[in-house]
Amino acid sequence: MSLWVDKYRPTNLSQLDYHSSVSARLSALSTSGDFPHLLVYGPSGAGKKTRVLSILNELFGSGVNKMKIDVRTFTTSTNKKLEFNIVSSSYHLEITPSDLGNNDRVVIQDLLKEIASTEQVDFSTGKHRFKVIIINEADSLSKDAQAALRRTMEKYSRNIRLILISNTTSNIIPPIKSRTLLIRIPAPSVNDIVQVLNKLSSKQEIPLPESETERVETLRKIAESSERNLRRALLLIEALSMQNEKLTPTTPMIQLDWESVIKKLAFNINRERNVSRISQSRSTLYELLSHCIPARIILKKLTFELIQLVNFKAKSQIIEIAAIFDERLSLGSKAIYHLEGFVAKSMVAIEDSV
Amino acid sequence: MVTERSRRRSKRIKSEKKVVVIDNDNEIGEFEEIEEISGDFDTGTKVKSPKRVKISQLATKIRSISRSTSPIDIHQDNSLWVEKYEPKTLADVMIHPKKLKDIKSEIESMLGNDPHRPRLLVLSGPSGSSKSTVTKMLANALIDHKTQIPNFIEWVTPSSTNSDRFSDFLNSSSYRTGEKTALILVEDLPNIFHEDTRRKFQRALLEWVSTDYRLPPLVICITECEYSNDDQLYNQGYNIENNFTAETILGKQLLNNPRLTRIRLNSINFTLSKKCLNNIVIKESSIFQNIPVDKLKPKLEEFSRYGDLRSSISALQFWSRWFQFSSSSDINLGKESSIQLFHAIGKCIFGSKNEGEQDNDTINSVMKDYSTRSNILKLGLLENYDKYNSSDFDVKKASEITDYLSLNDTLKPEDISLELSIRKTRYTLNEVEIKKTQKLGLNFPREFKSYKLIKSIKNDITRYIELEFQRNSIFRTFDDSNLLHGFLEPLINNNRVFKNRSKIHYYQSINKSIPQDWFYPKEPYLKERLGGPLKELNGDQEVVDSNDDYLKTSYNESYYNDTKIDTNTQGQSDNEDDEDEYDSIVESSEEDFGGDDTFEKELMAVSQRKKWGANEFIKSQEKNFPIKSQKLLEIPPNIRIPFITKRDNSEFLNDIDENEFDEPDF
Repeated sequence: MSLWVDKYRPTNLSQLDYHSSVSARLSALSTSGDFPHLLVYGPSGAGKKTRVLSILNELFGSGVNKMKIDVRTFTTSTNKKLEFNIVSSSYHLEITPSDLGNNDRVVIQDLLKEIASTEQVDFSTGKHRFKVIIINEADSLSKDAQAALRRTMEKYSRNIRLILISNTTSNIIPPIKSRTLLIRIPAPSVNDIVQVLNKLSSKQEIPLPESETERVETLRKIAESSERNLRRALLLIEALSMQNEKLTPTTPMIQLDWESVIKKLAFNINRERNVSRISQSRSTLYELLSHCIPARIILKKLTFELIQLVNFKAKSQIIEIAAIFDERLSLGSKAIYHLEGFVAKSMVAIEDSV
Repeated sequence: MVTERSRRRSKRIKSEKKVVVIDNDNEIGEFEEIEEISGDFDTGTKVKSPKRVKISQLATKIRSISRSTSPIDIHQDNSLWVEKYEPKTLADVMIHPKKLKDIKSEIESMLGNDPHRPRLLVLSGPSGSSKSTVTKMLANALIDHKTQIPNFIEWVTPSSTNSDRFSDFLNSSSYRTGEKTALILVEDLPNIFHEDTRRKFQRALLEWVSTDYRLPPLVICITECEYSNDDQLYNQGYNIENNFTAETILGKQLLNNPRLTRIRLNSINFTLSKKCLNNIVIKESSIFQNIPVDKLKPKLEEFSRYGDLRSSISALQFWSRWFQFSSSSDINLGKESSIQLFHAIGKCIFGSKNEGEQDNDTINSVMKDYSTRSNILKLGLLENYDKYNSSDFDVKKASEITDYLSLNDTLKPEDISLELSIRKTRYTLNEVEIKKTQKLGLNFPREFKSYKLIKSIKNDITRYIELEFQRNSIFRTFDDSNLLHGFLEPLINNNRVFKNRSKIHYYQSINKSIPQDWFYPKEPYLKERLGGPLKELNGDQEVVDSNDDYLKTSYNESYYNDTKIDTNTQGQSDNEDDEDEYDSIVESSEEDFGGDDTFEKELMAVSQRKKWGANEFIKSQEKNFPIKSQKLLEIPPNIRIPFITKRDNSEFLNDIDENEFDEPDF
């Protein structure tokens, strides 16, 4: 017994609820004997990882579910000890490059070499002689590491297959894209999510309204507030049904803490446009950053909250400002300059439009 | 003009005592910590000076007097002047009289019987600010000389690496009380660059201050300095690796202890330095009589500006030696005075206070010192530009500055980007009309505090990911864990436990068997937001030591400390938060945009809580709100009692000004 989102996670391609055409293609792929390198991309909460794990299940059987976690230490050229986690089964291996920091190139190269040099000996259970390496958050791989990967991919393709999982393909260099099969997993539509939630309510006791229309209405509200992120929707409905005796379409939604902080920040920026408000915003921004909330997500959320509050003329200006500072976020090194710059500039834009 | 000057000078000689300075070197790690001692040399001398004499004549006159009275033959003397002119009595130590009074009264009260007396005195200041001299002189003056025992005991770092030596030393010295009282002086520090040794050092001192029985007075002298390391280390914040200060050496917990008193000494100001140098010129007249006054005078002024008496005297000595061989006076000696961080930030934002100094010169002088450490200064600008004119200026100007700072964050090379940032900030702020009297209260850049928090929260999250994997074989990504699970999971868990508890209770009362999954989630589960609730990260008016990891609390401690699971993680110390850093802003999950009055209410609520002890508050909350209310994050899991900051940097700035506005002399 665990969280619903974990408990009802599909483990087979056949159990998947939406994007049936993608699922069909994947299942054809996994039964075809050979298997290409994959690049699976799409927004978070769309079901990338679920699909990847389902493919592994299809390829190697249930043995892949016997996973263990290892802590590997790696000594860099500057004699620094680096610790990172590797999740592995006897058929696959999973790494997250953001654990590795600047040394991801060396680590990945060494690791892949090590795995590739040991061939699979046990043919009794597996149908395939290769090992699969899953690289999570592949878009956070440095360019250096990606360039190293491209060579390794070809050299060791006899023994290893890579599955890269990422949110976008824009950070992935073209040579990698060309060596992998790109599979896009779009975010589920609101209707998809409603269906999944409905299916869940048949397995799990959820205090939903009796009448069919109200029931769908409630689920739809939850699905909408989850921003088409299925994980979020499932966590939300669990939190809501734990918190409330009865769920109705009017039940207040739970807002994520960091989101309500940003909402409040946007409200204050719009209401009061002066220098001392900028100073106060800085405290909030620092706190959000300290909580490891990615600067880009803060900027995006803040922009969307702001344009809901301001008039038409300011809307377009704020979008333009956001675009500028979004670029600077990726060029610069300290996020606080750019976020504060955005706050100050938006204040001026709002001031001008009033 | 000359006669007027010499008259004033001769008066000075009549009224003031001679000064002798010695030098002793102490090595701390790789640094040379040099202390300066100044004091009386021969007090009995009275000079009857004629009203109108040329300086050279005067010097000859004094020379003859000095010769007759001085026990030392100054003629063919090769000793260093800094050693030769060591002060012999308290009155001759070059220190501001007010500071001297402060230190004296502190040591006196340490010798007294008041139960609230301070146990530990920390003297901090730049090199050559008379810290240890003052202490030694005071030990002589305040402690009885009856016994044979020396009246101060000094810690000398042994060459052995045993890190327990310091506490052994303190233990053995603690018996020096009563009539045989001695003052314990710690000037040479153990190898505090080694983390373990530093911890032990701090712990030994903490034990010392918390002891209630009679202890001899303990004085620690710390020569503070900033030194730039390579840039990467500097990025990691303010710590022992780049700042050798009381904060980084002793740690916050110790410094905030009420039984510790800290007195900051400033570098010796122009007047005092000059007085001291003049006295030496008079005593060493055999050398200086050959040097023309017009050459000597500017040099004396230059050396007096060093702010480090030892350096000034050495410079004077070597310059005079050198002058005997070559009559040209062009030689660069001594050190350049460096600008401290807060001072530099202040200069960039408020402009220089010195009359007639152009912005351009100010910026150049700051650039000279900070071109290699641009990060910290740029962050300081961002942190403090809004303090100008008490935040009362057009938001357009602010947006220009932030826009520029943001743009410069993307520019390379560093020094150009810094210069552009400084110039933009200064010139833009210069356009603002100042109406109010300005409050000088600069903040230390929060980036480093934030960096530290990020590190600890990251650690929390990665441990959560590991533990979740070990419990349920589920591997979550970092962002999912932080953005979604971190907040929603505790919410779900707490509510589920609350719900199940009542169900279990009901079933027990009607004697029905209880379904197993009602016992889920099993202890320990995630109860609090991963990494702690979102609060406001406030700036400090003091430098923040990023190694200072005392007094931390952890969220979800029971969850992480689950003994049933064998974790691969290192220590506990890394995944904890700082205690005193912020106030809650997420007071309730229900949105209330009531504006400022709600914020005030929140502040009120927070301030009321502060008056209570943490435990009382939690107890009272448990009474008033059973578990159910926890779902709204209304109760901060533990109440933070903020430290009372002992001093803010406005005093710091004043101190600097003290040095800048010296009376014109000579």
